[in-house]
Amino acid sequence: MRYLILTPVDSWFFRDGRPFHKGEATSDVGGFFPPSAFTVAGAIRAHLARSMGWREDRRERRWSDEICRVLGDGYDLKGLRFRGPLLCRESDHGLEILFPAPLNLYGKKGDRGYEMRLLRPGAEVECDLGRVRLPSAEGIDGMKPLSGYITGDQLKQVLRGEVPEGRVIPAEELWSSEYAVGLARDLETRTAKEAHLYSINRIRLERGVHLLMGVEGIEDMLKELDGAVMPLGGEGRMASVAITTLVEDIYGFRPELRSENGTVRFTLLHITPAFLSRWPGPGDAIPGVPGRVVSACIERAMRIGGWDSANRRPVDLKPFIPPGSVWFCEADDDRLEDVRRLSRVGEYTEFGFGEVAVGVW
Amino acid sequence: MSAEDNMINFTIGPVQGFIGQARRTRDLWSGSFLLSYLSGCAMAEIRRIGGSIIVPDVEEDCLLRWIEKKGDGTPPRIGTLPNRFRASAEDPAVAARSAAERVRGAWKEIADCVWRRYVEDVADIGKSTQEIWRRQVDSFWEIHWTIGAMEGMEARKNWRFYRDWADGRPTIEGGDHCTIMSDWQEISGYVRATDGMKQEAFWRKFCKNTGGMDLRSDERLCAIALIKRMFPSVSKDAIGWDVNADTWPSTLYVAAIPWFRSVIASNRDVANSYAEKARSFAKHIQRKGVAEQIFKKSDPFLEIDANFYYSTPLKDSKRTPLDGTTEKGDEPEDVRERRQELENYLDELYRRNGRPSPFYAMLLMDGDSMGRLIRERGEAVSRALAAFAKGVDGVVRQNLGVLVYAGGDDVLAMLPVECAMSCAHKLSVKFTRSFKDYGMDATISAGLVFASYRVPLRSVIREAHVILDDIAKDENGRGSIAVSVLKGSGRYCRWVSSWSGAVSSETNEVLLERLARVFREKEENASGSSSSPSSTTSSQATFKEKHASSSFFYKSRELLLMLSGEQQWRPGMFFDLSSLEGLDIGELMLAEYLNALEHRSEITEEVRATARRYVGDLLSVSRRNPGPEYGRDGGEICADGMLLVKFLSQKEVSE
Repeated sequence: MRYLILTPVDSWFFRDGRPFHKGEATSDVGGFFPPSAFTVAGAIRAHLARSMGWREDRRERRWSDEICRVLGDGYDLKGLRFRGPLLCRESDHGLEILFPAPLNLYGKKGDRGYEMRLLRPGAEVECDLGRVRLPSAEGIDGMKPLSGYITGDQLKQVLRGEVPEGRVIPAEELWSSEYAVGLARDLETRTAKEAHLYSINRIRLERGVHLLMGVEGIEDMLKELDGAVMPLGGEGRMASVAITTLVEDIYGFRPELRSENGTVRFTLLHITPAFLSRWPGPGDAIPGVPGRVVSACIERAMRIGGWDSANRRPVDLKPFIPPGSVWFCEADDDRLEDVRRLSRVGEYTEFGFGEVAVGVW
Repeated sequence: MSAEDNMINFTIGPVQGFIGQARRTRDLWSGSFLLSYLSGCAMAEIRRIGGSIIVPDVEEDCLLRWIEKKGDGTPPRIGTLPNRFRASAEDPAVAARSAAERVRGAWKEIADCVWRRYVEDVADIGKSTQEIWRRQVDSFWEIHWTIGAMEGMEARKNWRFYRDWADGRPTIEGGDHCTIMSDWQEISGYVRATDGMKQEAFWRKFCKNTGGMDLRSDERLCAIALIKRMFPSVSKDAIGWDVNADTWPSTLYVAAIPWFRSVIASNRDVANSYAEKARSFAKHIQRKGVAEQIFKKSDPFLEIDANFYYSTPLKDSKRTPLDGTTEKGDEPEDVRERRQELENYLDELYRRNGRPSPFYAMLLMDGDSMGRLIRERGEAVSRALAAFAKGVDGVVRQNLGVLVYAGGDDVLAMLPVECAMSCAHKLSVKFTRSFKDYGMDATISAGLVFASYRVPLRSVIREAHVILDDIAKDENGRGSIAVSVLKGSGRYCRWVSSWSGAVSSETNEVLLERLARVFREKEENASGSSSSPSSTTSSQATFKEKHASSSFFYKSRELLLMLSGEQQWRPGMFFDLSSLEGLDIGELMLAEYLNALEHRSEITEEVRATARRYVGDLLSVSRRNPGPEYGRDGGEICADGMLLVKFLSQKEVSE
């Protein structure tokens, strides 16, 4: 798989679910970052379609049969496969991939830096879910989940069940949000046009920070992407593209999973958002994953939708499991190999959703 | 069996998802009140079946008494019960389940009242309106409970899963989304891009049912936002008493409170005749009862739509329609003349009393490390919190503010700009004293946002939460206050300090406010009158002779940026200058200050001594003043302290 490094030419705008209609004053829209895989994959496919002769005007909203044969149509990706998007930043050792901090990583900032703990299933508690082993740990008084990003080395430590060294990188070190006001002008009066005033939150990445998106299935078209500048997200704001090959398989790391009394215990850490048709409760199975759920650190759903430009209507807002969420599972040890092979769960995985890393607890 | 085995930890959410997604102050109040009310229903149920509430102390709580139908006197209109509580019962699991059922029942009752009164009649022209309504009403609340130690509840919050989900996962929301709560579908069910006319017809008919004042023409709401919006008018049927929420002031009204006082004190007759005139031109603008809540009196001037106190909205015919103004804002000649007459009148008031501020303050406070304290001291904490909560409304009122919510260790209030920091400080002192009385050391932190009325309310609430949790508590430590200024163009500055760093140990005044007052008074003394805007130009000239111009504040910021080697300034950033050996930042700033004065004033020894004092004070509020758990030496400097002084000292700030 080759990877695209996407860098904003200026700033980017990825809107949330708030209505944003022409002719209506809209305020404070935006705030979704990193963007969803649908957005990034859509931008890449649109760019490739343009290179194949598609013109983006109102008469020609749909792609030709030839383009559909190569790039698919809508949710059908034909032979295309994506991974990500993830964040990465330039470091002394080259490109460093950043992963969402796991939700079972708790910590507090003290005088001597961070003190951290990893939660794991604790003793059974009677609660609205029944008698359940809820995630907990000793000595977490005053601590809370550390939102932000961790490096690949830290991820490996977490997957081994160890508290990562160093600190969690807060989002503010990677990007900032810019409040921007936009308006349409009445050409005659040169004043702001009625109900065309809007305010949005744009994203500005820090220098050396990029989005990373894996792509395969279009090797012969990569030259169209290398060095390209293409629109990404709202307002037609642009991204420059460079192609790279990663030396290390970023998802390939597997800690040593051990079996005890015929049972293997493992964690699944969501690297990208995942759509599951049913969210498993205590004792249930995750679709496509051996064994059953013992406990979990799962945040509220992130709702991802979008705009269907071909049919001119909003795409349903669907609930996704947010990245950083962690399942604590148990499976019979004859399924050990199946557990080791896990890398994606749920639907829309060919777009880049549902990427998981396997660890121990 | 230990005592812990009988304990119930109960919580209802989502708090921010319900309260913070607000467009009007009434939505904000309604969200806070409803959440508090539902929590009260759970408490009442546990008490009904023989259990008792351990934290908070609810024995004298007026809201709970009314829920239990034991209330008398004035019915409650402020939420006083927190969304999480600890109780005990003989069979705790049965009691908790029963409490959760009671919450669902009470919510459904309120939702049904709104449905019957306002939606049912419109539903037939919607597309699957009833289905959308049911889906959203049934799946909104997250009710968690655990039995045993409090840590169990902390652990439960990690796993956002509900057995009650109809489809085994959170709902899928199709169609167009709510203009306030963007994760939910608006209830007409139509998509504007393809069925715009039908969607408009639905909402037009809805507005007719409500009388037109409750929904703006561009608002299309989901069931949850509609329930919040319409709850005040169904409260008598839904919960048994009238909550009187039509008297809730807008943000613009709160911003103007100090101005009202000065106008009524010096030009009452002119002001009242302006209001009478405005009401004769626009019959719908009377807001009866608002002034009674705040001023305990009701001059006609204090009881009109707040847009009529400000010249920009008054020029905007859509925002301030008069009788005869069309929906599109067009006005025939005679209506335009009336509008002009009002504008002239308002200008006359401005000439006499200056202009009202377009900024108000949103104050959010939350006790520090309460979980640990409750675990260690249990009921003593309940009593201390009850003692604190009792006095909150009084302190807010004394500072001309309006209390939105005060339950447990949380406070949410709106205040005029000039009183807000003092109010926050007084509440923090009251909090600490309440705990001291029960032999405990406790602190409370604050997030305070000064916002232009142009900034969307939900952005203001979000900012208050971010600065309270991330900036004050996390970054600066316990017992801190973080302040943010939001202008229409974005964030102007962000400042944080511990209470001890923010307050003068000798006079107990908030240092920033004192500094701002000194700068403002200098300006007013220079003009010879504090309320004579007609002499603004000459006053500014005199002021400039005695004071460094505002460019001093910006130049200082650029200077700090350059010295630190950073590329770009961001609000709230601290500069670490410790690597610059031999740098005396005080002397450097003094030179900058005097340089800014040089063109206007002779630098006498007296001027130099005064300048040294000002610069010293400005630097003092700009240094890092962390909470007790951080032992930093305070060497870092944040330019925003100075910017905040500048903001607070200006009589007229750009929006």
